[in-house]
Amino acid sequence: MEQLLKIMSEVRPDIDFEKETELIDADILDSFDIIAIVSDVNDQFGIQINVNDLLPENFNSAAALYDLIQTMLNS
Amino acid sequence: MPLISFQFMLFGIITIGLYFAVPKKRQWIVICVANIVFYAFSGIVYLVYLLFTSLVTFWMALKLEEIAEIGTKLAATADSVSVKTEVRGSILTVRKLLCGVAIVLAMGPWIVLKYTSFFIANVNMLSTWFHSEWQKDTVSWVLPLGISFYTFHAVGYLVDVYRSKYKAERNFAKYFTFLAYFPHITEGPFSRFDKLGRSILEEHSFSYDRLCQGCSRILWGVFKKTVVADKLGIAITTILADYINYSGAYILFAVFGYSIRIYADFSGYMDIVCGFSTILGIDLAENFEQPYFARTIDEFWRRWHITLGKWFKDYVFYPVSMGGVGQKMSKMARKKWGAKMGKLVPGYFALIFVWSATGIWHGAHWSYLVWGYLNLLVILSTMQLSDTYEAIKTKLHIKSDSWIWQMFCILRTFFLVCLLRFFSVGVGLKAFFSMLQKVFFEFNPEVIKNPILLFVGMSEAEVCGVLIGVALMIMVDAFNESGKWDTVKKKCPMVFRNAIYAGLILFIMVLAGGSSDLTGGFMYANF
Repeated sequence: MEQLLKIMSEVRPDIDFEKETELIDADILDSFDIIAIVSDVNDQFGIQINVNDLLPENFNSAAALYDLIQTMLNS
Repeated sequence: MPLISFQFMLFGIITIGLYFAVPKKRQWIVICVANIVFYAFSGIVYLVYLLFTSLVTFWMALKLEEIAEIGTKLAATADSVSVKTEVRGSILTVRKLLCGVAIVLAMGPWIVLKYTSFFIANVNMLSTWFHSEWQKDTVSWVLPLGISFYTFHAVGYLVDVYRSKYKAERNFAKYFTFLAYFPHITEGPFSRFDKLGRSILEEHSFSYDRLCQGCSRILWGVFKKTVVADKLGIAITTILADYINYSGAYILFAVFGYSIRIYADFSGYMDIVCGFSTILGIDLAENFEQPYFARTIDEFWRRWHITLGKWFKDYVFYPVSMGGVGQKMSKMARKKWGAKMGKLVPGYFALIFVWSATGIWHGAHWSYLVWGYLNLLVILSTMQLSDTYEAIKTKLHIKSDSWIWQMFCILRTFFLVCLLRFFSVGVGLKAFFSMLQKVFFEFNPEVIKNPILLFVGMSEAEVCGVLIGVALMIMVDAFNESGKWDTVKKKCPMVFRNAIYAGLILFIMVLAGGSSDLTGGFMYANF
């Protein structure tokens, strides 16, 4: 989780990713932020998040994204 | 069938009556029949194109789902991880190929009918450049009603099923009812099957509140269209059709007026169809969010034709920026120019595709492509220079949240939007430069002293109607922007509210009644 929070904070240092739960629904992250986060996550976790996974429920919070990463790592 | 006509009013009343008279389980069938009747009015032959796209995407979506299910079963029975991976890879390749073929088939009629002439004209131009005698006559085919819209709806559905966002519909009539839903087939809004499709197929009870809400919204839409858009259109069309003989002041007025007209026209249409859907109990997506209150061009495009922007974001922007090339560019940019550029470059790359598509979608003409690229240029430069702007603002002690700065940003954006529209109002780049030259060198400020002269071809009553209409539109948008519109509506006494409705009806009857403009021809239907 720490690694993910570091990635997200590097992209958007102005957001408290530990607390935010409406990153997509409240338009806090824009499409450029999402691409940057996905690119770093794919690189550092060795997974392949693709367009099909770009659902609000996967990106609304760091915890949700962490769950997605865990699911992909386990499958 | 023109949307603003006695014919449509009768059609609408019969549809609503039947919709609530039949058993709820059969309500969607009423919509399906209404779709066919509405579409057939534009020419029965065009139903063939609509049916072709519907059948292709319906069948291909089922096949895509079937193959995915086979793949899952095969992968589950595989005895090793490598075999499982191989099966998944093969299935993915087959599905990708099938989805690609389906998209080409679905978009084929739209591309051929809309862009053949543009293609021939360009080949002819190249032929002339290379001193060849080969020339071919351009064609002028009539576009089937709403082909640009239903084609995109169908492609969106296909891709969503490919991405397993939701299950493919197994009943063709139900799928067709969604695709050909008559309120959205001519000009959108772009809708997704999992939202609108499901909403159409749900059972709805009659609601008096919804009837009132729907009717008042339809009335507002008809007012914007007939009193503001159509009347303003008289002056704008006259000036732009003969811009050579008008001074810069008139041209500037026409370009600014065009921005207001297209908003009144397009949002008026949305109000009518959303109002109609509200009565049926079906919610359509909103397409506007006070676009002329945007502070930047980027923000403007997030508030204008919202559903088209979302369509391009989901089906062009993300696939391109997250695809292999986009990601490679990101890594390269990060190494060379740092993290910030690594984040921006794939997005910039994808935006080139988005704006090429946006430009060409609006019209098969180079001026639309240039218009798209200029929008892109403004957006990219705003993003790229954001740090510089912030530094300048700090140096000049400008507070971002002060109302003066906010007002400046709003006006600046509106001005920029109008300036960019120079490209889409003219019929070519030559016209653009000629109009620009007139604005700067043949302005004729004398006419400003008597601004009524700018409203060429319009009566005093029509000018009055337009000015009142624009003032009302600004007021409604300002209340919406501040989030107070719902409170204002609730607090407004019934007598006052009825007086407003009566006033709107009076304006429509006096200014639109008997006019030759009462055709219901909406501007975006041509795109």
